[in-house]
Amino acid sequence: MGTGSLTSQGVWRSASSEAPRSSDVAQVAVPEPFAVPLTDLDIDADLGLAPPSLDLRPRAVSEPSALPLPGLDRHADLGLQPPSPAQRQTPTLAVAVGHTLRTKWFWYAMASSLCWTGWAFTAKLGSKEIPPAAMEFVSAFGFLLVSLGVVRAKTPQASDSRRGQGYALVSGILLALGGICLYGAYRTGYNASMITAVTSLYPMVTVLCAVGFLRERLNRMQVLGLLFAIAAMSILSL
Amino acid sequence: MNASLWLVLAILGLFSWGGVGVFQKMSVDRVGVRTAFVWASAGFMLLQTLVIPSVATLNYSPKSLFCAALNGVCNGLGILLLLAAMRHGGKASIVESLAALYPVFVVMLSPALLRERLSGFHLVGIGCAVLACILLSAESPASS
Repeated sequence: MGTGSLTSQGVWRSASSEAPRSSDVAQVAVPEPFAVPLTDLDIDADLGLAPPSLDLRPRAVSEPSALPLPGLDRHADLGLQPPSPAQRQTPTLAVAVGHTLRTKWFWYAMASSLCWTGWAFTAKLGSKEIPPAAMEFVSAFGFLLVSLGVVRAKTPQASDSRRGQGYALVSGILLALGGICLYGAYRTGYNASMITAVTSLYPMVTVLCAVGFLRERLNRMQVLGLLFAIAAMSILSL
Repeated sequence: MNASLWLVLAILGLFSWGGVGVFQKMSVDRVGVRTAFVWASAGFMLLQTLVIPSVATLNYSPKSLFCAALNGVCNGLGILLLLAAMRHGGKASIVESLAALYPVFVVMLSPALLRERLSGFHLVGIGCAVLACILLSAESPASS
C-alpha cells in the first residue's frame, strides 16, 4: 500500500510525486501507481456492483422523474394530481407493450407461433396413422419444400459471413437432433405427457444461454413473464 | 433401463432445442434470414437419414401423408418467421419464449377443429400464457 492524495482537480497523485498544498488535499492511503482522473474510476465495478442504468431520454412534462428530488413535487408545481402507485406501474407496462406492438419482430414471432399451431394440428392428424419416425421423415420433405422455395427466391450474396452460415447449420442440426431425441423418448414407452412437458421447457434453456452467451438483458416484467410462460407450457403440455 | 433412457433423451432434446434459438440469433446477426434458413435446412436434412423408416412410407393413406408433409411446411415456415423476428431486432430469449406459447392457440382452436373440450385446467394454462405474452412483450424502447 502506498499513500496518495486527492487534488482539487479531482486527480489522484502518489506521495512520490510533487507534494500538493495541504490546504486542498486529503491524505488517504491508496494503492500505487496513481495519477488517475476520478472520472476514469469505476466505483461500481470496484465494489462488485452492476453499473446503474441511466435513462437520458427526454421525458414528457407529465411524466414523474425516475429519481425524485427530496422536497420537490413536480406534479404540484405543474398543477397536476400526483399519480397513485398503480398509475405509476400501468403506463410503464402499457408503454412498453405498446412499443413492442409496433415492432416487426413481435408480429413475426406471433406468425411463427401460428405456423407451429398448424404444425401441432397436422402432427396430431398425421400421427393417427403414421408412426413418429415415418412422420418425421415425411415431414422433412415438407421442410425441404420451403427451403427450395427460399433458395429459388434468394439471390446469392458474396458478403454472407461463413461464421453466420456455420451457426445456421448448427441450429438446423440441433433442431433435427431435438426432434429425433423426442421421438426416441416416445419410443421408450414412458408417459408421453411427461416427456412433452420436459421438452416443452426448451425456451428456458434458450433464455439461460442468451443471457449467458449473448449478453441479452431482461427486465423484471419479462422475467415474470417467463415464469408465467413456464407455467403455461407445463400446464398445456400435460 | 427405459426409465432413465427417456429422461436422458428428453433432456438431450430439451438442450438441443434450447440451443437452436441461440445459434439462430448468432446466425441472423451475421447473415440474412434466407441464407440462415437455407443453411439451417441443410443441417436439418443432414440428420434425417437417421430416421429413415423401416416401413415404406407410401403404405399410408394420402390424407395422412399430406398431413405429414404439411407438418414439415408449417415447421419450415415457423423457423423462417422466427429467424425474421430475430433479424428484426427480437431477442432470442423473448422471441423463442413467445413462439413457444403456440400450445395456447392449439388448445383454443381444438374445440372447433378437433371437437375436443376445454377443461378448467386448460383455461388456467391459457390465462398464464396470455399474461406471459403481455409481460414478455414489455420490452423497453431503449433496449429493443
